[in-house]
Amino acid sequence: MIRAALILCLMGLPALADQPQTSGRLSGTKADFAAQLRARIMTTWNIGSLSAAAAQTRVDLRVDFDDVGRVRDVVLVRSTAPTKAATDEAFAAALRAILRVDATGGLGLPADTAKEGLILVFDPATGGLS
Amino acid sequence: MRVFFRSLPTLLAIALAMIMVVAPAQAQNPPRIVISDGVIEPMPFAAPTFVDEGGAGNLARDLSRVVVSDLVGTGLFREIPEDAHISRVTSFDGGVAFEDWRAVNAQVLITGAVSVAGDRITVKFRAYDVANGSAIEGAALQFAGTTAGWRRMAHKVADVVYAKITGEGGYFDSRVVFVSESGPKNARAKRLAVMDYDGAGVQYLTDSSAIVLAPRFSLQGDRILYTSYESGFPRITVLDVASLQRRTLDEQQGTMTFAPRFSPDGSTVVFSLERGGNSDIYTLNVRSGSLSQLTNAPSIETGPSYSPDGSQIVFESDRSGTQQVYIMPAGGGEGRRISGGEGRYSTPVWSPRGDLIAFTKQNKGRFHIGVMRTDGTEERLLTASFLDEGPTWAPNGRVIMFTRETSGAGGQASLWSVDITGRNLKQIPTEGPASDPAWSPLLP
Repeated sequence: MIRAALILCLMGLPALADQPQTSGRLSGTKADFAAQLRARIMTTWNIGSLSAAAAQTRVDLRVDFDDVGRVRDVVLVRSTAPTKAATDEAFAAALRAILRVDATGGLGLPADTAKEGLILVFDPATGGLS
Repeated sequence: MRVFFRSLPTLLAIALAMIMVVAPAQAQNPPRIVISDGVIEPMPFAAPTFVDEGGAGNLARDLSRVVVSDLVGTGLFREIPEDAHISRVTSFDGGVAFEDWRAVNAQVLITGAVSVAGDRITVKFRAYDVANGSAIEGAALQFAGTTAGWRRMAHKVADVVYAKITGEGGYFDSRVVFVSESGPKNARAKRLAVMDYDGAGVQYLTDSSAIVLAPRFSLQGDRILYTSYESGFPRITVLDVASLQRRTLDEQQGTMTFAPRFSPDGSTVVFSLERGGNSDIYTLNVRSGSLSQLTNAPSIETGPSYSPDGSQIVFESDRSGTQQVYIMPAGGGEGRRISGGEGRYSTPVWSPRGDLIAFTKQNKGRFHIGVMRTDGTEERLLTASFLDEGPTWAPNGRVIMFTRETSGAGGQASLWSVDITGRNLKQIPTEGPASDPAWSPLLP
């Protein structure tokens, strides 16, 4: 794993990469949840086998949940990949990361967040490899 | 792109619910979390021994092991050993118990079947994404051929799986031509040999009566160029891979020719010609025999290599006082120096992707294999040793093979490979000392 700094979720705001990393709009519980979820997904998002194009691709995924908070539906919202192949590959890696966390008992969302769904942005460019 | 994870009746109910509940929520901008860091780890996969569908015997197991070896050998995959599997695959078309594979942490499952009738073998396989419980699109194929070619079929299976998961082209179904060495260091016998990329299936192409150097495949894989001392002087020779017929390409009295390489379309050979103590770069039209001089300088110009589109040539020259790497148009012209670091640069080779140039670098008493962009930026040294030299690219442009020689009177040459990230450095097994590897394209 590379950079371990936690990035908080911003409720209803544009991508976090464009925003300050702390926000008074976050409640403590949701900020904790976001930080924990992000840390868990970071350990399952395997970017070691990605092609060069996919490894530089940002994909935004909308995740919806069922009544018990398990992943029900994952939709690709946005991709910066230059080709469909790179999009497919980046999406598959991100999807695997989400499902591996879900398989360990779910993403642990607060009830209201589970109802709203979640946007997960997988963006290697904002982290970088070391 | 959308992936669901529940049964159809549930989905219908969910669809109704989404209209009423989720859709309004979408409009409210759901929480957003940015994941900027991931892990770099070999992807765990399971590949149970392929099912014997008749007459395969040990071939089913042997073939499965080559598939596993190919994938694990990339450093990008990790096998979950068979004794850890919960499910047993006894039928190729049977259902897959994904829960069992998730339980052993497999992310990819590869199943297959082998049948043999006479000298014909048929191999079929499927790869599954265990996390979302589905077959990987495009990773279910069938190959047929002779039993003698069973290793190639295994390589083809591994190539498909590798390409589908990594997004890179495969490189397992390829050959490497190299110089097989024997005898003491000061009187070494050398002969050409060819092998699978992983060191298996060695065939000797020449005897050891004359020294041979620098073999290179054509991009069609049908011919090999090399330098032979059969006449007492270095001469470029071309060998037909299928018939093993060979002929010397040029006979210019009073010259020596070496470092040959085909153009991408195979119609032209670029090489270095030494006359009166000065080396320049020339091209030879294979069909017409017409010769063109591309450089004309008092310095040593050698080691030419075409760009994949055939429009440019990278080469080494000591015109600045030390060996450096230059690029010129394929028709000749002023070279543009691209190497800029300390030390001496040699044996440049253009990547099949066109984005990088691999080279040998000597600096402060150490040799390195490195890569740089075609404008000379982003130089990365991938190896360091007493003597590393002569890089050659895998067909997918992700792996480099080279010669490593150990020091001392008993020092020996061997073949090594490394990923372009500098990871997964490993020795290629050969029967004896070996040098000068050159990778073929993917086999047809």
